[in-house]
Amino acid sequence: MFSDIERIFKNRLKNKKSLEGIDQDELWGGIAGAIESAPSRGASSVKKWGLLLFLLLLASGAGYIYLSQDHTSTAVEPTQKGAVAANPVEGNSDYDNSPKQSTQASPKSKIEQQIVTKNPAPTGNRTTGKPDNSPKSTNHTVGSSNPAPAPALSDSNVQKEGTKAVATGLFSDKRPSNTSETSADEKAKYFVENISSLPVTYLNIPEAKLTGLSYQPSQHEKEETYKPLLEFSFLSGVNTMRIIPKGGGNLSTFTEQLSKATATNAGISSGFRVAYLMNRQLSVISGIDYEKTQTVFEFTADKTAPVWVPDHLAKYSLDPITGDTINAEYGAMINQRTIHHVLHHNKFTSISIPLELGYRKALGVWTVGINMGASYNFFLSQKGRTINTELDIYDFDDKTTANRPFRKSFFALQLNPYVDLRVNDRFSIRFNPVLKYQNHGMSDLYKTKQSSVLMGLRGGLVVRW
Amino acid sequence: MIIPNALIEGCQKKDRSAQKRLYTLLLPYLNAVCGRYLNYTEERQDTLQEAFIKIFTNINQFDPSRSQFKTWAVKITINCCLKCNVKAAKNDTQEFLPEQNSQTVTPKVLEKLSDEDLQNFLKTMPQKYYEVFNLHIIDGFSHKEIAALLNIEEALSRKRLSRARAWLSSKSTQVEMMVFGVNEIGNLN
Repeated sequence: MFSDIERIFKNRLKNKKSLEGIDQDELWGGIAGAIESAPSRGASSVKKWGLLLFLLLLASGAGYIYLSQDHTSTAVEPTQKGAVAANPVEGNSDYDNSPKQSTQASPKSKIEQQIVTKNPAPTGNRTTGKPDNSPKSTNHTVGSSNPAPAPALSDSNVQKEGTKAVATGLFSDKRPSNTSETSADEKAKYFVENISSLPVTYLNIPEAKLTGLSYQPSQHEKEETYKPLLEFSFLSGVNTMRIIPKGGGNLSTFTEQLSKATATNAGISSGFRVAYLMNRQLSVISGIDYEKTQTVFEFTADKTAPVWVPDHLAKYSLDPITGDTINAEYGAMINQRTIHHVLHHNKFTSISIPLELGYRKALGVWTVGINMGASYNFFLSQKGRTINTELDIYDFDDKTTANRPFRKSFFALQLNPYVDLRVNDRFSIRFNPVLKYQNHGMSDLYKTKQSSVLMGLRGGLVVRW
Repeated sequence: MIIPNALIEGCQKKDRSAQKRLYTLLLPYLNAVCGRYLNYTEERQDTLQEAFIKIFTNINQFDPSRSQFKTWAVKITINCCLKCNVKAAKNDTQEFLPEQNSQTVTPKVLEKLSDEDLQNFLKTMPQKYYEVFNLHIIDGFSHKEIAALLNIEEALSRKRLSRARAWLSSKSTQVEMMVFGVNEIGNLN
């Protein structure tokens, strides 16, 4: 019995032909268009290499910015400057061989504190911007890396030449090795000899303070802290889009039905932003955002139309003797009521290129800010179901249908308040609610103007260079 | 149906007229396949388009020594249909389908039914059983192939087939009662 049934199914259905439910020309148009626009292997290879080249250029640019920032910005930490102000060097002291505790980890003499404070990096002359070309050099490195105690310097060890007191050798790379084993006289001799040929202006020591060798950093220097120029943020999160159709008059019923049938649903968004920091508060921001938004379409189409009795609704009667079918209802017209209920998740993907102006305020480890601006947006894809103006259920897809709910490109206004949690000078964690008003213009499908509001919450990492 | 080699070669050379001719030849078969496999009728045109694009862009991979061209094309189409079903299910796409009347079936009755009726009748079977029944009984795929296509175990494919047969059996019992007890078999949707 089963094999007979299965045989019937196989014979009747396997080689069945049908052209029902399709528009041959439209389908061929879609296929031909897709084959035409399908990228060849060569083209995709070029695209891949192009992308690689772009990333390489981007990395090179970022590297260049990083390196140039590293050279131009001072590495002096505010705390180190504070050490200078807090520990002014007192004058009129003779050589002092006993190590003194400073704010540095290792004990240092007063003069060395100054040297270290002014020049914490081994090369040491970034503040003045002058090259390290001191004429004399000995065998010791001056800097915070040297924990050995060094002799202090008295006024008598600094000679004045008019306005130019000289202290050559302070920045030299070398000085007598193993200071702990060197006699006090040798150390003193080393400093006197080397300091004697360096203009005091080289150290930026005010002449008035020269007697005590005390140094007060200028206001400019006090403010000279870590100053990033660019800020890169990588954010991602969730969004929802609320569509607002604008249709009055004859379209009011349609727009009402459309609004009723369309509900918001969660989507995702991610973006990359570059902010040019004009000063501590203001910045100009651009970048690229990818938005994948979803809406839920739920609609019931209830229509009645006269149709011929379809095969599957016709009543069959079998002749009890011959087994033949007696079909009395073929050929009749009936009113067919069609109820078509659809619940579907529509998907829209788009790219956004924003241009924003940002304002921020630092509050300890937190920074609050707001970016405002406009963006140019374009849809990558629109796929789903909706209704057309005749209230019929309509499938839309970029590949197959000419009319879609939204135009390909549109402009938007956006507001991005944010809160940054500062991890260190270079990194922050950002929380960023997003509010975007999108003006879609006239819809090809709905024949009415549309706008939408996109709301979201994103989080991510901020890197400053 | 046998597809001429010259036509396939033309398509491999991206000859548009050959592609159109192949499309015209294959369309009725592949459309019927979509009708059998797709759970969501609205997706038929999209799925067919996707299947044809795959056929034309991968036609150089067709190996005549392994199968007939039509079989190869049908397999691609079935794959597209199954993917579409999974995707639509993920999207929670739901369509209201009027409830079918309880149906009864014997070979004699089946022979009286149109192809459409047969297909509609089969579609009243639980979907998972229907997929395996379709693939194994109608399209002749082995359980191993079905397991790969549906991403299930081979044993599960066998189990689903036996359940599909049991489902048919239950319908058959009803028809026996109807045929011998009542003259009118009833509404055959």
